Amino acid sequence: MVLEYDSGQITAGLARSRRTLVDRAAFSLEEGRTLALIGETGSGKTMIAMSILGLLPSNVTMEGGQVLFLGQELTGRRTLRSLLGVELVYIPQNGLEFLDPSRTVRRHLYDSLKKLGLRGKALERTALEKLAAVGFPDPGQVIGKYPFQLSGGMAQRVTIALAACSRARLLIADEPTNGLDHQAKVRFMALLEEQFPEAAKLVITHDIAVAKLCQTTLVLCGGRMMERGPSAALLARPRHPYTKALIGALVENGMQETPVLRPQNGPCPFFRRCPEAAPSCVPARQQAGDAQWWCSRS
Amino acid sequence: MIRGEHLGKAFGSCQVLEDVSFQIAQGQIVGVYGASGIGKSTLAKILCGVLRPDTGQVYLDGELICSARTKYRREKGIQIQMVYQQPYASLDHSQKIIDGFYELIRYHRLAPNKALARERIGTLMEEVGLSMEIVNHLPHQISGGEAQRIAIAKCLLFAPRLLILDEATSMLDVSTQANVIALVKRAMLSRGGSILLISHDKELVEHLCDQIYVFDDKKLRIKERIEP
Repeated sequence: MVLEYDSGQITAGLARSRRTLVDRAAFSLEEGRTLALIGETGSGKTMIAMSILGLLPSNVTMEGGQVLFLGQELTGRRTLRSLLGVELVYIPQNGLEFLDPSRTVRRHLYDSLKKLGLRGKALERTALEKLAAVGFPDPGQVIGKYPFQLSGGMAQRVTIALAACSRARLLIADEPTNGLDHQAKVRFMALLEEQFPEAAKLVITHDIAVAKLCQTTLVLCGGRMMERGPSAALLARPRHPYTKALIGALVENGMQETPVLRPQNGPCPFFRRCPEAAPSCVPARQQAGDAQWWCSRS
Repeated sequence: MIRGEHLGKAFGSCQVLEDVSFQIAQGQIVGVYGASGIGKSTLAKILCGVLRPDTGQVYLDGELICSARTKYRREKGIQIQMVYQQPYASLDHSQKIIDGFYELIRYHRLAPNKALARERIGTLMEEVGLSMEIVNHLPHQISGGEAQRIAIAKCLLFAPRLLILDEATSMLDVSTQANVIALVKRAMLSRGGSILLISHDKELVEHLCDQIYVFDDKKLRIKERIEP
């Protein structure tokens, strides 16, 4: 198992209180598998990624959780720092913003390749190979460019090339396809699979079309797990009312709204907007085959 | 209601718009789609007075609001408002949300005093489905969906005749997108306004719009109108 994750409680310190951001979200990820984390804004997806990477903001703490990477607990900044960019690789949301504007694509790639121990002429050769592998027909043209000379799509491909300059065992991609059209999304996901066939991949997205391209999907709402299972079945036949609402909001399903239906909060984060909620609701775990969902009503 | 005639715009040697003409009637949702970088946002910026066209002119209710030779008529053009792709783009990060509203209201003299300004903000918050508590937050303390609703509320402050959504929902999750679109339709169409939806999402445009314009592959013109 590459990753065994249990969030425990991730809370943020506010001026006069603490707010729970993620509550007992747990999953594991095997080599070569892809897991999509989906949910609305504020559902805790990015906090989960940050907690794995040890990059939680200073006012946010993780209590009672555990992150096992290849069976070893990821504790201490030194262990994490030695793994980041080498075996534990992050692909950001916005390639253009992520790249250092004062450095060329070459300098970015050299830095990552030096971490792998490459020196001299091997640096340029490998950097060009990596750019060619992510679909640049003439890598020699791109390698000397600064980020502002790249389009959004090109910058996103450079970030994949950078990620490919590693021995990635676990890849975390945070909303990697935001703002791309459908064809570009499909190409991006295919490229990820092609470049990292052995790595475990955690894809954070709010895009159902991207989740469909992953093997497994975990649906989050308000920091809690709502439903989990093989993507094809989960997205075709959702069981939790929240997943049903997400699917119903797609354009092809008529963009159905999920308005607030009741004033009071309930046992489930979706309670106020849930069309199926009742006072007797219990977010107990249900299971059928590989599918799991946390709702007593469905 | 709004008519653009023979609009053209170039940036250096790159011709982005050429001979673009279109019409948006009252109460209509009009869509414009095309690939990224093809000139959709340039057109929106001309309508809002952010860019001046090199050729052509724009009319609102038969009155000229901008052309290659004349300055943008702000007092008329304020009835055209735009919501941007980045939810936080129209929010000042160092300013509480309510202070951003007060600033707009004061500058455009939309309310005679603070109490009435606050009342107006309250009505708008209700209209976009947010609680009044949220206006005391800083932008980084609210979600992307909430920030986009605030941006819409700021546009509605001017009771616009045309609201332009420039990829305004492409950064939002599906359920927030559906809720935001529904609220824009309610807020604009109920008062006889129109919506210009600019997107690279063909399905979204086809689902929502009464009339659709497509940018052709030469990046030059709006060439096609498809009746739904």
